[in-house]
Amino acid sequence: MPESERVRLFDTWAENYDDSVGEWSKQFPFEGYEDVLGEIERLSHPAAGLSVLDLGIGTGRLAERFVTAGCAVWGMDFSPMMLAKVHRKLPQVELIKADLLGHWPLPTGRTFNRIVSAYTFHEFDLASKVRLLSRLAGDHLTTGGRIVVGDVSFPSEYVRDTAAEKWADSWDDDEYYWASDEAREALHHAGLDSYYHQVSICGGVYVIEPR
Amino acid sequence: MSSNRDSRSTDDGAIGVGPRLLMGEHVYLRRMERTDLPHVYRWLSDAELCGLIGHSGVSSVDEVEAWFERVSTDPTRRWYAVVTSDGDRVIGEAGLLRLNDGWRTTDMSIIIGERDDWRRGFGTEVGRILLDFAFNYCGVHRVAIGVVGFHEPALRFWEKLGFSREGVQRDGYLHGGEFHDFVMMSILEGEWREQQARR
Repeated sequence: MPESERVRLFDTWAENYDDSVGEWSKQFPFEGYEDVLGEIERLSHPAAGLSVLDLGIGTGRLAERFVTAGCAVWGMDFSPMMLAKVHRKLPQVELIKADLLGHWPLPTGRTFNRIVSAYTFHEFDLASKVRLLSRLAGDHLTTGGRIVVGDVSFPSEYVRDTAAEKWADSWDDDEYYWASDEAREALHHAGLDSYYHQVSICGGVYVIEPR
Repeated sequence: MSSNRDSRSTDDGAIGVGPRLLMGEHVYLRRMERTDLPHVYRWLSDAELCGLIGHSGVSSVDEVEAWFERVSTDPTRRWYAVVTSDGDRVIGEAGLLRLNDGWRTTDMSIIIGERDDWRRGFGTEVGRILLDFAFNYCGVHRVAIGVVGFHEPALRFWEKLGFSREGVQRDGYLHGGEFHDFVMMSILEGEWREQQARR
């Protein structure tokens, strides 16, 4: 869908996103949503004073876990209404309005201890995912830092194909759900180490570090 | 010219509230920082520019610093440096002022200080970024601007962005020993959304 329409969709969504995820988290594609957020948090080992960048911060459901842990959180989103909502909820979070695939906002060398993201990367095809993750790992991670991404994801392409048939009615062909086998291979070729944990039947978490 | 890191610096003393960065395509807005003041001083030393934007007289370094102290604690202002995506050059200042949450109104200002960057479409993009910010982030219903009456290009610029002339302050502006009209313009949320839907 065109960029402007995508922004409008998420702006419209900003007001009731939290409610709709609550209802949908019982089924595909959001089944296990809260567990995925919990796993992102756990694998990030949040601690007071760590700097965290949240990509596609949305309404701040992931970010609030890191704020509670005492981290210094920055959030990026392309929907100004989502940003306004997260600002009301978590005023201490520093916000950036940007499209993750558009002109990149952060100067090289502005680093974070953790870069996290929930249910955002499936908007991008695999090549774009890997390009973005390579840039993040190369330019924006402190030494020893890690990227932790949770999203709609399947253990393999085969399972993803099966799921596409099973959930044909609610499958969105405009989105690029992860398959861990192809993703981890592509990340490996880009010089990134990765670890994957399947959390629910359609949700999983990747930990990505520079090799 | 500032280095890449300097002009998008995200660590040192950015002031005010609102998102740090509002990204556009050819240009983006970064919350104004003290290190931007030499640029502001240079632009406000341009007497012709000051006349066109309704700034009374050129400003001294001290005045610019005093202005910064004042606006950096002003809760009704969201003030940004205008920076080019290509090369990260600081070319102007822009933002919202007199933001009134109760009335859901705000005034807006855009100054492209670097003359070499006039008529390149940067101002239009800044306008779109700020209107998106005003209506979708700040939740205002009405954005207003006062334009120096003899500054025809500015009047056309704001009309192109969707603003309408709503009134004239007769002799509202004294410049060069003469009184000039000051044109009040505004755009309402519904007008802007309609325009967005057509884009």
